[in-house]
Amino acid sequence: MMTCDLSRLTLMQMRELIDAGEVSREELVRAALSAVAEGDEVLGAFLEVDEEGALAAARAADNTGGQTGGVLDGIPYAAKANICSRRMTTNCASYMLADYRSPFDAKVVASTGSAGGILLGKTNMDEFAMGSSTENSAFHKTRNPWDLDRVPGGSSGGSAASVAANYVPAALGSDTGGSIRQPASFCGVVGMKPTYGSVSRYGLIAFASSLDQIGPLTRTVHDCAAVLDALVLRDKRDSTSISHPDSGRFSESVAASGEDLRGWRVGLPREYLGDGIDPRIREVVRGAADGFTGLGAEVRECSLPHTDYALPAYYIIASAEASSNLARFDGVRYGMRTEGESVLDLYLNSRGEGFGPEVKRRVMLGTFALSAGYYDAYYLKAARTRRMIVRELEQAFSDFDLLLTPTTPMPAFGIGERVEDPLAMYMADICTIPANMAGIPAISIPGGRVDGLPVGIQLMAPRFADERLLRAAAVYERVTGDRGANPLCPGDVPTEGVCDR
Amino acid sequence: MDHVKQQAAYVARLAHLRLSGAELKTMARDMESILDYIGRLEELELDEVQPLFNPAAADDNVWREDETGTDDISDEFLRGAPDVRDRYLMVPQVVASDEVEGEDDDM
Repeated sequence: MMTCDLSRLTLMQMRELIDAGEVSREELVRAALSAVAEGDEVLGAFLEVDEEGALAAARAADNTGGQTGGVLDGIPYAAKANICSRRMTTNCASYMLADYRSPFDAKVVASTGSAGGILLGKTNMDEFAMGSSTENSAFHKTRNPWDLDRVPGGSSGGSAASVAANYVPAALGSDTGGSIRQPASFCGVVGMKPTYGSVSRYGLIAFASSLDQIGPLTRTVHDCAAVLDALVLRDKRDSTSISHPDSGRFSESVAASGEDLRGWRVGLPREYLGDGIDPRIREVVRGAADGFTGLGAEVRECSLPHTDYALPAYYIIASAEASSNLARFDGVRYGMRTEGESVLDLYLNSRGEGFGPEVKRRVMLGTFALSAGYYDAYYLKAARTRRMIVRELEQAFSDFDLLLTPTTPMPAFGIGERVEDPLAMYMADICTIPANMAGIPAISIPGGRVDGLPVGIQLMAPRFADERLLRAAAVYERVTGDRGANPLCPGDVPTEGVCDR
Repeated sequence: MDHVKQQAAYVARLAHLRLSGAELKTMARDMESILDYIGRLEELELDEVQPLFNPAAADDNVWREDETGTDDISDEFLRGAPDVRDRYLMVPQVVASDEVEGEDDDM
């Protein structure tokens, strides 16, 4: 029988074992289920696990020989609870949608399914993806696998924790201002927000439509590329979706990425290394810059003077879009309803009881920013600022192939430490927001440790240069990377010979 | 602060949120500090800059063919609604009953 913990394998390792006929899909799903059963009562990464459905899908694939050529054939994965699936609830970690079952699968669930992926469960998150710690979930908190008294980050905290704890090799998250990359950094995994429009948002419950993007969380860059091969598709149901020039070639490209980065120009924007950033994180980023230099890249400092204005502009834009998107939750068409004397009372009561404090705060802020007399001063001003941020980044990318920054200004903070102060919580996204404002791809990969906690480094590239980003990240990871070892699962990610059977 | 609280109550009404007195108080305090932080955008002179609403915004609209589809899942959608009768979403009476009488012929 088994001599190793199969759930610790990376996606590509699982892929090889399945293709070689050394392991069945059912064994992989069972390993994932038992890892969840063993650890998740404490960790709280999942809101719901579909044991029956996952096992049935695995057995069916084993019986038919699986999805020929499917890059995710037999791979168990998790999806954030704001991604619609027919099976299980899609509750956005909100009382408002506590029992909501979607009548359709999101495009990403359908396309990972077509590639052979097996949806194991839905992961915890900040309510409606608003937050940076997963503490805003209406149901329970998720803990950081590296230190159970700390947050996993957010809003895709459950997805990050499920990958870091080795339950699944891959999870889907959504990123509106850093909600994939920031928890990836806090949990020591890889997290990527692809170019806006490259992954369909059909079936992603909208938070801020001009900023939201679905992406993968994995333990390695190669695994991230493999998931993207399944996700990046033009979808006629999402009018912002685009035909990506490298669709289907990410994994192949990463495999051929080589050993050095000679000829690459890497920019180090000094605004991302200022006073607001923990000095120990600055050290990690400077160390990473040396790492890139060591790989042959030319690393130079640069300046993006509007960076400090990205966060205030983001909070206006994201909240304005949220106030509009969340208007649909009125107690009439979906989810929770609290009766009232009149229709207005019904709305007021249902929304007053269904939404948690942070969601209310953002809906209020957005409603205010769009209201008569304030639109020009707030929303329009923020949209003009957004243009400046995009211009500045475009300018930088005429000089550099990539930009290197911290992912987060601090390592994972303690549970409860920031919940009382919304602004302190918002600061956690200060490095990740510009990429959403500009719609460019950005990835967080493990960059080092601060007090034993993982911290990520972020790489950004121009729109559509996702493949470039992945290649550079893969070379960096291969040569200097720090992956795998965490207190729950000591030892590095197994490479070979671990599954002698 | 009273002014801010009044304004918060007004915005809550616009946003269709029922907030308790305690919630309103916290909300007013939080909104004040968030707006204060956001106020730093005033430092920027941007009147000449075109606003950007979506990073993928093309100059043209996005069009698709007007095709007939067969994937009608309206029954399944209705199953998710809190109160449905005969395929109607139920809400409290909107028009007073004395207004309704005799108006059917005009509809």
